[in-house]
Amino acid sequence: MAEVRILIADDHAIIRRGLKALLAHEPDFEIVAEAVDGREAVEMAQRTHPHVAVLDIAMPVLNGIEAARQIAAHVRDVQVVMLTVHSDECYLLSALKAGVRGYVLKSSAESETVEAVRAVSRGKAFFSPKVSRILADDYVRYLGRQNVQDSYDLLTDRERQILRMLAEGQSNKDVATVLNLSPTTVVCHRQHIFQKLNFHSLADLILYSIRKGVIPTGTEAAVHGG
Amino acid sequence: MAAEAPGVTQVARSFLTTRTVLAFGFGVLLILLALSGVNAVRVLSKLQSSDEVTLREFLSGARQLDEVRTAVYLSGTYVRDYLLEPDLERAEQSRLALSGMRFKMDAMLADPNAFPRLPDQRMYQSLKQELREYWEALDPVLRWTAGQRRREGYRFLRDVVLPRRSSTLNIADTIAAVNQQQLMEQDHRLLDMFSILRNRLIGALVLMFCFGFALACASTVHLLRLERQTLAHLSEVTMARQELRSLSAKLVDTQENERKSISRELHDAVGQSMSAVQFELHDLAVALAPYPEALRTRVDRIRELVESNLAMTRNMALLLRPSMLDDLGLSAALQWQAHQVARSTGTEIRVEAEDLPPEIPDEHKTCIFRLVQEALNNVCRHANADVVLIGLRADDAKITVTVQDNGRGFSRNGTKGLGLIGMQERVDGLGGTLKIQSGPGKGTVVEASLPLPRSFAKSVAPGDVEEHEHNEIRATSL
Repeated sequence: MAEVRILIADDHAIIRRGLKALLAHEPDFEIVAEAVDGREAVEMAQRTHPHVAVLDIAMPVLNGIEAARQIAAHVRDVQVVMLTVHSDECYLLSALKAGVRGYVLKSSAESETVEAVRAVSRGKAFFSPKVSRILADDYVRYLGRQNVQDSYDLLTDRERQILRMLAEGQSNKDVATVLNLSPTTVVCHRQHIFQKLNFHSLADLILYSIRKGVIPTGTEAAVHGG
Repeated sequence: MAAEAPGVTQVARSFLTTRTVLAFGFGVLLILLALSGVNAVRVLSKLQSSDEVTLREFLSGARQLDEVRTAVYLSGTYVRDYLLEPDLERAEQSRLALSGMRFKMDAMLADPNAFPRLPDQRMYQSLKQELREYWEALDPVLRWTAGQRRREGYRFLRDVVLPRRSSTLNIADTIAAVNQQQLMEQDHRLLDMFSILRNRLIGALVLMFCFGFALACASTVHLLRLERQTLAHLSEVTMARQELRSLSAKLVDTQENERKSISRELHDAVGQSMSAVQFELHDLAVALAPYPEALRTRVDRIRELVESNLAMTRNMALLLRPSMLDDLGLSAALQWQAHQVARSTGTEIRVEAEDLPPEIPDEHKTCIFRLVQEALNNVCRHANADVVLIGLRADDAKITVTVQDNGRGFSRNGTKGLGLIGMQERVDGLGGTLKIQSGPGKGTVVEASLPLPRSFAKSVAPGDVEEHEHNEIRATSL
């Protein structure tokens, strides 16, 4: 089994120690770097080229989201898992926009971090089920209160299928291969989805999918995605 | 207020003194003016009347004397005609005319007011005496026979009548001269009175001028002093207001910093150590695998407790100061706040943040966030609105935030609430302006405009965290 090279960044030594202990149980995981703030995380990522960077959001000097953005910009083939106490949509959306595809709440870190690291290292997405639940609840309440019809009903079956696969982190090409379609057709479907649901970015699409519970989160995502 | 009372009393007392002095000064000045005016008018009218009296007396005296003179001359002529006329008829006529003349003169002499009242009455007495004697001398002649007249007439005329007539006329001339002199004397007296009046007027004018000058000087000095005091007070008040403002800005700052540090402390120290406890408990649970189920259940319960504590701590930290403001920027924090309020109240809240500069100074972010928080708070408590629109826009020089609702609004005749005062203080602290427009049934618009420091003018620097809401992400999966 291929080694998964991991970078850990958190300004609290106690958390870093806990994380290390947690990840050390996995034989195929190797922790290659530890950083105490965002800037150090970016530097170390550039130096050590990890597969996965596990970042706290609230870090001094440079926060985790900005660090993720810079890592994505400067380091090739690295995936980021956010490890945070924040379950608010605004944090999740910012993280998604920074290219983050793994999002784990600290309150369930010990049970989900390993899965998240494993999922993103395979190019899949992972979001704490708790986040999905909170966002989905909010969304349902919002729909109920505003009396707005859910635009999900506007999508065709094929579009829903493609929406789910894109949200899981698969590329247009992956989708085309799996569904046995031409890449042009997939791009066309994708545009329809964006128009119908008023998305501006892939981040919007992922957030929507999490909110709607379209993509199974946590364990299931890894299983289904595989 | 009680501490100010002695000062106020003192000021009131000094005002009273000033008023007394001013009233006294102007009163004296006015009294002087009135007195000298009245005096001048009185003297002038006296002068005028005495001038008239003098002239009248002179004229009447002169006329009387003229009459006397004419009478004397005429009587001389009648006497001569009577004495020397050979025709009896004619002589008798002259005698009758002479008698008439005498009768008239007697009447004139008997009238006490007939002659001017000269200081020396003896002259009149002598004139009267002379006239009386003149007539008495003539008396026997009138009873003369024609023969007597022929014999004695010429001699009598030459020796008695002519000398007496000239002496009488002399006296009349003397009196006329005296009368003339008296007129001149009266003129002199008038001139004297005029000069006295002039001197008095000059004196009064000099006195009034001196007094007025002194009063003007005193008033000017006092006014200048008041002006200086007013200026000093003004600068004092301005300074005090500035101090108050900077104090309140400092207070706001301190409060914000305190909240920030407590929030951070809650998050860092408490939150992180509880996270660590969770890690430890997880390890413990793993280690307890071979042991009875009951033990592991208890560990699980502890983990749940820790988790709910963690959530509580985080909520407290967010209430104190939302970490989004520092981590994700202003528009994310406003979105979050809007979402929180919307969730708890059911109001629809839209946030429209466009075209914001990449970096906004911390104090501006905080100020705007707190303003919006307070405004939303007001909307929820009072406005009964369905929709709230939060707008945020910026240009090179300033950043403007508006909070608009479609609620019931209010009329602005009431006093400002503490919330509004707090908003005003915050905006003032950054040199901005706060406008609140509302009317019953018209909803409310709160608009705050904050000037941006020059260094924060809009520019797109690479790698900015903030507000690139509509940027496509770099999706590695595409």
